[in-house]
Parts: sequence; structure tokens; C-alpha cells
Amino acid sequence: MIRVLRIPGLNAATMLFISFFRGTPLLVQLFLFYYGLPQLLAFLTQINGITATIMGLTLHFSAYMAESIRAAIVGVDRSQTEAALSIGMTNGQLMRRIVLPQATRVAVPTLMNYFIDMIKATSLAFTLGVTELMGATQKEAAGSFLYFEAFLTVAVVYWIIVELLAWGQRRLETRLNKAYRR
Amino acid sequence: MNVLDFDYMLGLVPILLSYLPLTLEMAAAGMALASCWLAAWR
Repeated sequence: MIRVLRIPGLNAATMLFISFFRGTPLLVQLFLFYYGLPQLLAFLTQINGITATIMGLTLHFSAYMAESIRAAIVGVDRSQTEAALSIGMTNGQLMRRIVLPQATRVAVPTLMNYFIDMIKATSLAFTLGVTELMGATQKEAAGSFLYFEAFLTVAVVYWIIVELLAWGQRRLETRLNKAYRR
Repeated sequence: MNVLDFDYMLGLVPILLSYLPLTLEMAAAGMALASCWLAAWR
């Protein structure tokens, strides 16, 4: 929104944030939060792997989501904005009543894709010592030496989760597009 | 070439599924916080 409305200062800070979080790998960001930040901010020494992962995922994916939401807002036909302003709507009313409801329909599929990506990205939490799906698989594989079987199993588990979510996403899209079908 | 140990793979599934809530919670928390962060930013 800041980028759409071009608020000076904040616009530059937003662009820097988006550029940094989109331009660096998620793993680097997670290591920065988990191992790097506690060195600068003493209270962060208490941070655990799960919190660092959630922080990393939040900031990394919000940078991508900000761009998709911006694209969805910009994608709303300009004539509708002009029509709303011509009947005396304020900028807030314009956003709430005209732009955001239409932008949501466009943004939802992309946001669902980011959620799916986020689920896959949680596997990186294993590098911070969190025992989640991937960490548990690594431990099991190290105990049994059946690495191929273990990693194939976890790959199938992730695959099924993603397919279920993709199915949900298709249903949601159909529902959101109902009003636009002829 | 060795044959895959399907019994081991099937035995692994419930163990892995027990970690599924944590995976989903981390992703859901990340998504919710990212949405809140973007809304606050607005």
C-alpha cells in the first residue's frame, strides 16, 4: 500500500526491505536471525529455533506477499477508482469498498501459493536444530541407514500435504470467481 | 540394486505425521504474522 500510495521515506524503506528479503536466500536469513542477531541484541539469546523460523518465514514471505498484493491493487481497473472518487469517496472508503474486495480475488491464489511454499520452507528449520518433519526424518535415517527410503517417505508426505492444499486452493478460487462467471 | 524397504517406509509414516502439526503451525504462524505485518505496514 505504501508503494501504491508512494508515501515518501516509507516508500524507500519498503523498497529496501523488499529488496533485501527477496534478494537473499531464506537459509541465510534464518541463520542471521538465529545465530547473528543474538550477538547484537542480548535479549534474543533466548530465541529458540521455532521462533527464529517463524520470524524468518514471516519477513521473507511478507516481502513477496507485499509485491503480489501491490500487483493485485494496481490491477484493479482505474475507471473504478475514478468513479468512486467522483461520487465523493475518501481514499480509505475507496480502498475498503472498491479496491480491496476486487484485489483479494486476484491475490488469494498467489497468497495460497506462498503458503504452500512456506510449508515446504519449514524444512529449513531443521538446520536450526528444530525437530520437525525433515529433522525427524534425518534422525530416523541416521539410525537405520535407510536414507533413500526415509527421504522418499518424507518427500511423499510433503507432496500429499501440498496436493491437499492445492485442491483446497482450487475450490477457494472457484468460489471466489463464482460472481464473475457467465 | 537393492529393493526398497516398504515396511520401514510404512512404519516411518506415523512417526513423521506426528511432526506434521509443528510444520503446519510454523507455516500458519508465518502466514498470519506476515499478513498482520503487511496490514500494520499499511
